[in-house]
Amino acid sequence: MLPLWIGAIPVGIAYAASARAAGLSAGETQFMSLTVFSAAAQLSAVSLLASGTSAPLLVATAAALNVQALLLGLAAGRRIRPSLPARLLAACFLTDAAYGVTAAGKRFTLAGLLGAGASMYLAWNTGTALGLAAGGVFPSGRRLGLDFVAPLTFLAVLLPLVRTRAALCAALSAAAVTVLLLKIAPGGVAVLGAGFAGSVAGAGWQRRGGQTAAGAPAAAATEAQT
Amino acid sequence: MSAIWIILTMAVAVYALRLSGFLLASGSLARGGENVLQFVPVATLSALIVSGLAARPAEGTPRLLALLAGALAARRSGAALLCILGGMAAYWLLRLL
Repeated sequence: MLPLWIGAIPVGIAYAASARAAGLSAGETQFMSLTVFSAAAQLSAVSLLASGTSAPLLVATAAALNVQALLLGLAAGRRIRPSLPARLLAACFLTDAAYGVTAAGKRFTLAGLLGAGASMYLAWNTGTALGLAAGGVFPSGRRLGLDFVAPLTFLAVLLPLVRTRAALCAALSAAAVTVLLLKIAPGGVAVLGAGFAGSVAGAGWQRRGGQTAAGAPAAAATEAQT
Repeated sequence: MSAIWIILTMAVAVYALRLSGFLLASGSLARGGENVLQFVPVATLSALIVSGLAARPAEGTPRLLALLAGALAARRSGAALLCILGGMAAYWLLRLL
């Protein structure tokens, strides 16, 4: 659990710095951490907001980045079979980190999932608050290039996910399609289009090569199914 | 649309995804669907990195090199934090040159 805390707090600080650099108020920055609770979605929203992307595209990108939550929910739901109120509550805190910690434990329980999720929620919001408090130290975020924190954080999240050739194929195709789409479409459209094209390419590679589950969520889903 | 409404819409969209897995757990999702879905975050993150680079074309080269430095730092240590710190340090250093 401790390493996760150590990871969530600095990313929370980095998010707060980029949110302020993108022009969000301190209240809005913290509000997003309290309600959305997703590092990837929040950082993408902030960097797309800075480039003037429209609201529907921004929301769609945030959703695309959390598609794995659907797979995690499937896997967790098959393992613990929670009641409806328990599902509504567990869905508030379901992240891949919380799922990973619970799956690594001796038994997969609802209490374990909720505990891991809630403590990540606390760490994420503490990190955001710390970043806001430190914000006064950096008067001109844009001149310092603090907006570069967002792509670096995406890279830090992306690297551990690229564990198979199929995942590498998805990442590289998406990068190539982004370069092409950026020539004819605004940033948000390019990201969504490339995200879709890359996913199809990755799935195609996996099917052709006969590889089994690439990412942890899918592996967990398969395991829970059998 | 004001920022608060965008944030609330995002919150609802992300929560709906988190809940939908739990709700679907009793049924079954087509395998082809699960196969494509598992690559969506990888592909979207990669696209976001590229579009982030394109947003500041004047700084393209130092940012690309700094990303490589961050990737190297993360590969060696396995820590996400070092990727961010190492990348920022390389970026500032390259801008001074």
